[in-house]
Amino acid sequence: MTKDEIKAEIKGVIEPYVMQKELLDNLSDEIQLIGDLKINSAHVVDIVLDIEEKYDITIDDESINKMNTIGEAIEVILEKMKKD
Amino acid sequence: MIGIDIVDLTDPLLKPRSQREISFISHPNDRCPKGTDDETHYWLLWAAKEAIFKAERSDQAFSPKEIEVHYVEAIDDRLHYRGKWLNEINGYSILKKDNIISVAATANIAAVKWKTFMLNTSNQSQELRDSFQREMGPGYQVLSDVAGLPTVRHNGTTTPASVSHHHHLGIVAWMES
Repeated sequence: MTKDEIKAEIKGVIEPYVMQKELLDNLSDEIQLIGDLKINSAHVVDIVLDIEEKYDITIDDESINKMNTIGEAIEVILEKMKKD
Repeated sequence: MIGIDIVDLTDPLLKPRSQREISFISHPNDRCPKGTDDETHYWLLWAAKEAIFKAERSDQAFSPKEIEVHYVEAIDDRLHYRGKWLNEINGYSILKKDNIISVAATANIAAVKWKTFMLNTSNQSQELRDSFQREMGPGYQVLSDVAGLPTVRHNGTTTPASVSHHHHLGIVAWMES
């Protein structure tokens, strides 16, 4: 999968957790999950679990701490897909 | 100092928590009451760590694994914890009632005032501030300090405050002598 393909899919993964849907209109790599999309921090683990299920990967807690932005989340997914 | 967190366990977006998810947020020295199930264990730790983080008013990122939470004793429907992150802060009280976990982290629980609200809009942060002002009257206002952290202004005096919202619930806590 390419980075752009994952980016398109990840929008669908996080959509249920974003209350202000208009914030998803311009999803750049630099957009922060909590700061910009206003995702409740309690849901970060739920998003990680959704990503694990969708891509059949395992994300360790060290990697979770690196998933602050859309771009960082995509990088973690790509890295884990290569390893798994 | 005051830090607050609220978790509504009826939120349908929350997935079950197990030992694996607990390991994502645990410090080696964390202690919960004996016999606590994984689900409750996770959310007690999470909410306490969030509250401790907010009480410190640090510009560092939230990293739950760096924050220690020690259960001390049960007092009526409250669980009393002590926590340690940048500083050691005594007096964390956790209330668990009707699937709601709320935590106040403070050195002086007697001076803490709080108000909870039902939230219905998608911009919960703004709705919480507006609801607070409506409920408390024009003398009270939730503002932000230069670091963007919440404060409450009351009759010309500004004190540190903490806000939290989750699912359809929001809470504002502040210190009042």
